[in-house]
Order: sequence, then C-alpha cells, then structure tokens
Amino acid sequence: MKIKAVVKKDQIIIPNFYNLKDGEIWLEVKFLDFHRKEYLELWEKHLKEEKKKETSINSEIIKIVSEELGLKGITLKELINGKF
Amino acid sequence: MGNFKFVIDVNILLDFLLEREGYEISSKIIEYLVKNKNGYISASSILIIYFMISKYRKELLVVLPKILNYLNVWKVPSYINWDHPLAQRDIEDYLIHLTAESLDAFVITRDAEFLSFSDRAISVEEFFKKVLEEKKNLKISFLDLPKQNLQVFSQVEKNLDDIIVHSKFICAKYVKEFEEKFAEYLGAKFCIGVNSGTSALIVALMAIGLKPGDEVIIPVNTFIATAEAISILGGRPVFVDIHPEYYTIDVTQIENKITKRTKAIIPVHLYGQCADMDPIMEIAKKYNLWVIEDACQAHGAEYKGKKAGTIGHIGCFSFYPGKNLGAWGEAGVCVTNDEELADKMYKIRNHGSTKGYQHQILGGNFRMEEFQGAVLVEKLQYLDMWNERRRDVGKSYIKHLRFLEEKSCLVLPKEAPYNKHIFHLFVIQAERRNKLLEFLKKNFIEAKIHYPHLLIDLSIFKNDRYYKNEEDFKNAKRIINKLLSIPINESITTENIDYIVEVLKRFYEKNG
Repeated sequence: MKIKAVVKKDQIIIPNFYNLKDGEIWLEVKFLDFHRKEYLELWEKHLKEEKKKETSINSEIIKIVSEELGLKGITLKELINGKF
Repeated sequence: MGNFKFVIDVNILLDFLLEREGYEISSKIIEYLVKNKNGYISASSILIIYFMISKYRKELLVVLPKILNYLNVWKVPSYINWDHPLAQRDIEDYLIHLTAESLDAFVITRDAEFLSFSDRAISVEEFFKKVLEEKKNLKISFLDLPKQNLQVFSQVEKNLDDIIVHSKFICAKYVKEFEEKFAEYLGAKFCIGVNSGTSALIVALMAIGLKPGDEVIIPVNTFIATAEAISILGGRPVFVDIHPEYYTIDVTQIENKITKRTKAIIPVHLYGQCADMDPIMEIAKKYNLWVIEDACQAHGAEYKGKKAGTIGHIGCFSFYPGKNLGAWGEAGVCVTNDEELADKMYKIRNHGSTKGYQHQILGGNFRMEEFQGAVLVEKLQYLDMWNERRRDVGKSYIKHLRFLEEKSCLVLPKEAPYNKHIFHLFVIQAERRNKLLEFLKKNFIEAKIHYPHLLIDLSIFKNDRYYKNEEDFKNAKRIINKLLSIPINESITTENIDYIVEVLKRFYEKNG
C-alpha cells in the first residue's frame, strides 16, 4: 500500500484516511534519492530563505572601517583580471 | 598576511558573484581577503555556487575556478560531530563551520542561526572590527610558516592521503620522487634522503670514512650541527675565521689550519650565500682532502652559476621547517656526483644495507619519512619563486637602509660578486644590537641572532688546547656581538618592510 505523506520541516504528516485509533503503528518509510537538481533547487530555496532573514548591517561601521583600511570594494571584473 | 583567517558563507559570496543586494559590502570583504590572501571557501559550498552561477550567471562559469582559487578552497574534514547543535539544524552550515574549525578560522555570515550555533561564526561588523584591530596591532613575525604551508596544502593533502591509505611511511615513492627532482634541480647525479640536516652531515662524514682523531676544517661562526657531526664521530672540528664581509669561511686562513690529521673541509654556505668554493677546491686537491658543503641554509643559492651543494664531493641540506625549502618536520639530504659515495650513503642511512637484513657496512637509522618527501616534492616547485621574492625583499631592505649604513649605525649584508644569495637570513651588523633587539620587540617585530656565540666560545669546544690563539678569529670576534637577523621571508609585505625600516630609523634617531 502506498500512502502519500507531507513533509514539513522535521515532520512527516500522514493523512488519517482510515480513522486510526490512538496507539502506535509501525510504518516502513523509504526515502527516495533526490535528483541532484532537485536537491540543489531545495538548497537554493533554503539559501533564499536565509537571505530574507539576514542580520542587518550597521553601514556606518563598515564605512568608517573601509576608509581606514582603504577598501573601495573590488569589482568582479577586477577580480577576474587579477587587478587588486 | 593577517593572522586571522576567514571562511566566507555562501550567501555573502553569492551577493558578490550575482551582484545582488549586499554586493557593496561583500565586494569590500572579498577585496580585503584576496589582497591579504586569508580568505577561504569550504569545499562543501562549491556545488551550490556552481549551481547558482550556472543558473543565473552562466557567462561566469568559465572564470569561476579562477575566482575560487583567489579565495582558496579548503577541505571539509572527516571528524564530523553529528551531535553539534549546528549539525542538527543545518548540515550545510555545519560543514562550513567544520572547514573553519580545521583552519582555525572564522566564518563571515549574516545568517542569524549560524551566528547563534557556531562559535566560529562572526557577523560582517565583527569581521571589519577584527581586521581593523589586526591592522592597528601589526605584529611582524620572523617567519610566516602557516601562510606558506597553507599555500601548498591542497597539493600536499593529496599525497598525505595516498601515504595513509597505502601506509608506506619510510623512504618509499615520495622520498624517491623528491630525491630525483631535487637532484635534477641542483644538477647533481645522486640525492640521498635522510632525516635531518645534522644526519646529512653525519652520513657524509661516515661516507668519507672519518675516524676518531681526524680533523675537519669548518668556519667558526655557524650553527653547532656542523661541528657536532664531526665530534659525534670522534673527529675534531678545527675552526677558521670568517670573511669580514660575506661571513662565510675565510679561505685565506684554511691552509694555516691543515695538519697531517686533516681529513676534510666543510665550508658552510651561511645565511644563503656560498663560501668561495674555487680556492677551497684547489686547497682540497693540493692536500688530498674531502670537501663536504654544508648547504643547509642555501637551497638554490649559486656559486659562479653552479648550485650550492654540487661543487664539493658531497653537499648536505637541511629541510628544517624554517628553511627556504622546509619540510613539515625534520628532513635532509646528501647530494653527490660520485657513485661510490652515493652507494655508501644509501647504505649508511639504512643500517648499512640496501637489501633486507644484508648489513654490509656500519650505518644507522637516518632514513627520510614519506610525509616529508610528500611535502618537499610539492614545495620544491615554489622554491625559485620564493627565493626570488626573498631576493627582492633583501634588495628593498638594502635600498631603504643604506642611509643608516652611511651613518655607521649598521652594516648591511653584501653579496659576493660570484654568488647568487638566496637570503635565508637577512643579517645586519647593528650598533647597540641588544638595545635594538629590545626596541624591535617593543614594536612587535620579531628579530633573532644568528648566532649569539662563536663555536669556540661554547663550553664544549673552548677548552680544546688548539684554540688558544684568539687572534685567529679576529673577524668573527669583531662582529659576533653585532649580528642581528631581521624578518625575511616570501610572505613579508611592502607595508611590513616599510614599517621595519621606519622602526630602525626611529631607533637610530634616538640612539645614533
């Protein structure tokens, strides 16, 4: 028998179609392998969520310290050309 | 390089690579890290970075390896603690944390959970505060071995894995490969890997058949190992004064010290510069003596275009970690063009045997470890580049400190016209040396003395009846209390050099 379950964070929620009563049952759960792309897309989603929740930055501190250290910010082009 | 090391969390790097929100800050972080060469990316982040770039900035894929190399990819170690709170919450973040742990580094992140559950994680503000603090508390160490070793680690790591997996630890394929490559580098026929520079000298002296009572001529100012190797075998070191400018053995004094017991001469290529070998070889030929070059401080140094260690009968090298070519522990080699001597040395290093339990001559355990061969074979590829950098640093010191020499405050090292100096050490003669040493220390510059005592002044040698005539060592005696080695290595920055010059200048303004 196959039952479709819902995965939410660290919980697997199984719909109670059969009006099961209180108690314990054993279910055999098989985890299907992630396709690499699916896994990476999940990871990307996770990173995006983390990005939304990023800590704020005190830009005044960054400004003062960057001036002190002479940091202007490197561009991708400069990095690729090794000009730093 | 700063002493702090930093691993970048994926999102901060992606802000930069995708030029998205946060780009301005991440570009400053990355600017600092690539300039100071102390930024790292966990190998565990590579997959997602590649995925994101291929999805959003396909045109960058071709240059991505170059970008990642500027930021140094670092391994994820195998000592995973599954119970770590971060491992239980976010395994990707935990693997980055683990990379930082193996590097003794911080992770720069804006992820609140990462910051809460990892003692390695620091915020962007904390990163900027740390680098500012480091700049204000500039400390210049004599050597920067961690930086050098981290630079070669990826290549070495592969070899170390191979050694552990196959568990062949002594004189196996990496030692052999290093012996071949080092011989080729020097232009020598044979190279015999041993377990230290001191062992190299002992093996060389055993190979020439040094007997108790035999005399060996050596310079009076050098590290003790040269004399020690002779004495351990029952021989007697006979000391000769040094050249007043180049600090190597004074070749004009050698013949005065030759007796019927003299067996060999060991010129030491001190501080990275060769002794004047032609006259030494002529004297050796005239009196039928062996010449063993102590090239323990001269990896890649040249005398009239020939590499140090290849001119005498045997050349001895040390790969003590602080040498221009340093192992990750103790190691050394003997080199020679003489097949008979090579054959003896192969046997001597391995209890007198090259075939299992067939001990043909007296030897010992002087074998090189595979780990050292594995490190040295990779580091050898950098030796010329590192030596050139040291030469540039040396030239820079000479240029900027000349005015202090003109004021007679100090004497700068001189390169003999026949030599290519590789500046293992940058040794000056400094007036008020001990006071200067203290002043440098107070200003967070680590300097050293090479060497504080002449060998004849050490208690183990000074009672020898042969050393009564102190006039014999007038050059060495005149300078011994002035010698001072200031930091030189391939990692030292222009900023560091300027600072050292400025501190020296300040000292002599006060104490000139």
